[in-house]
Amino acid sequence: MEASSWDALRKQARRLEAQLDDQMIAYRKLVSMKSDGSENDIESDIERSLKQLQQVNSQMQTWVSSGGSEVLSHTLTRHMEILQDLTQEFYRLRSSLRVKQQHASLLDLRDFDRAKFDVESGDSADQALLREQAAISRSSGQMDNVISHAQATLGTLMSQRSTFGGITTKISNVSSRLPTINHILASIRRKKSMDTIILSLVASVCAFLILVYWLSK
Amino acid sequence: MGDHEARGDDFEKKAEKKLSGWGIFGSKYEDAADLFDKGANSFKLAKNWSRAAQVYIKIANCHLKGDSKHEAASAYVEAANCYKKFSPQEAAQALNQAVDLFLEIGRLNMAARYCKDIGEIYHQEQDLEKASDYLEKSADLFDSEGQSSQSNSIKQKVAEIAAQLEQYQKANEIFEAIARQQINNNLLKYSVRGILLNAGICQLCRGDVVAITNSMERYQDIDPTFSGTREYKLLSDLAAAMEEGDVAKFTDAIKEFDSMTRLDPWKTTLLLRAKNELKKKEDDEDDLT
Repeated sequence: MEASSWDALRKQARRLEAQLDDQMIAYRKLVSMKSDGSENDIESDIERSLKQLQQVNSQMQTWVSSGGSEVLSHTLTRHMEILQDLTQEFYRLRSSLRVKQQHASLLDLRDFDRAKFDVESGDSADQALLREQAAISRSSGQMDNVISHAQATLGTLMSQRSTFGGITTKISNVSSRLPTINHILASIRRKKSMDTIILSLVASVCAFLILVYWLSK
Repeated sequence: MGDHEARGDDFEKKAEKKLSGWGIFGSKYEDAADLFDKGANSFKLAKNWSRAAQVYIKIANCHLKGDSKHEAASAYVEAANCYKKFSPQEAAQALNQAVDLFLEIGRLNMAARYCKDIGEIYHQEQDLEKASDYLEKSADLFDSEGQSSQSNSIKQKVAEIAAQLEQYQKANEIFEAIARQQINNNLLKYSVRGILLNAGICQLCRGDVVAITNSMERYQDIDPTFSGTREYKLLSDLAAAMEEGDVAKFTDAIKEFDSMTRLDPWKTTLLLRAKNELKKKEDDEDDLT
């Protein structure tokens, strides 16, 4: 019963992992292309599969805790790692999808296309003014590029600053070795007291033997 | 692989035997900890992370009995490193124990660093409440040690998480405090306008137009050059659109800003919330008329 139970759990875990791989591939494809509204279904499926895999891992954990061997423990750890990787991958993809959706929703991108069409159909005077505005915006953008280069330089300087901070941390780590030195000193002191005890015992035994010899003479 | 595992088992059994023995000379806890350490090392070589982590917890318990808090804390950190491979929750718990011990022996610097690690673990696991709590604690500890730059970067994360949890007032206050502090530093003052933009976005999400106006006056007090920046223009346009209840104007202002500087996901999320609130208000007004 136990052996078949373990094998059944293992088989179930493997099936769920394969299923999750397929679902993750579909989800990844969905995230990289335009969404058609079916992402909610796939997300629910993936979440359900992850939950099932978690339960199977818990059962395997229970099985291992009640007297499994090291090989089984190793296998269980591997399954837990796989679950962890799949979960993180799912979180990352879902965040990426949310960001795209929110960005599109914030800017009303469909309206944006229509607005662009309206701009192109305007008369020539308005078009000239809009072209000038675009040129000014580009100049402003280039100035912001220069500013961002300066800020990148600032970021580099700040990372140097954090490097020096790291050096400070390393120095404080070296000073944290001092407890280890105290630890060594404590060991030395303990061994010295142990030697003292041994020496006292030896001296006592010798004195006792001398006394016995003197009395028997 | 199997050899390392068997060796680890051997060391663990020897250590358990040592613990259950008398130990008249020397400390049995210390010797057991040494043997456990060899065992844990073997398990790590065998890539059996769960066994290695369990053995490190045992090492920590040995050191606690032997009254060596620093060694116990280090053992918990090692256990957390192993747990990270397969169970972030347990890694966070082990680090929490290490932080408590470091606080007891007065090493605030290391406690702050591992507290930050715990916060990042929870953030990765998308548990924003716990992440926020631990990052705040870490920032406080860094402040206690006078490391304001580390503290400020962590506080920015705390503020971003608070805004995601819809605690806009708290987020706004943290951003303003950071901006006020960084404006006095010649190297850091150029990033103040980004921080003030974040603070302004938090105010927009609160939806209080008077508070937004007062905040923007406060921002000019903090940074006199702020009124000439594109960030200020964006905030004032959004505030005006919000006052008039005009969603299209709101969207146009964001579109213009985004066409030059793409908004990061955090700003996108919050501005979308503000826009949805505005749209809801506009719909209500339409119903009234």
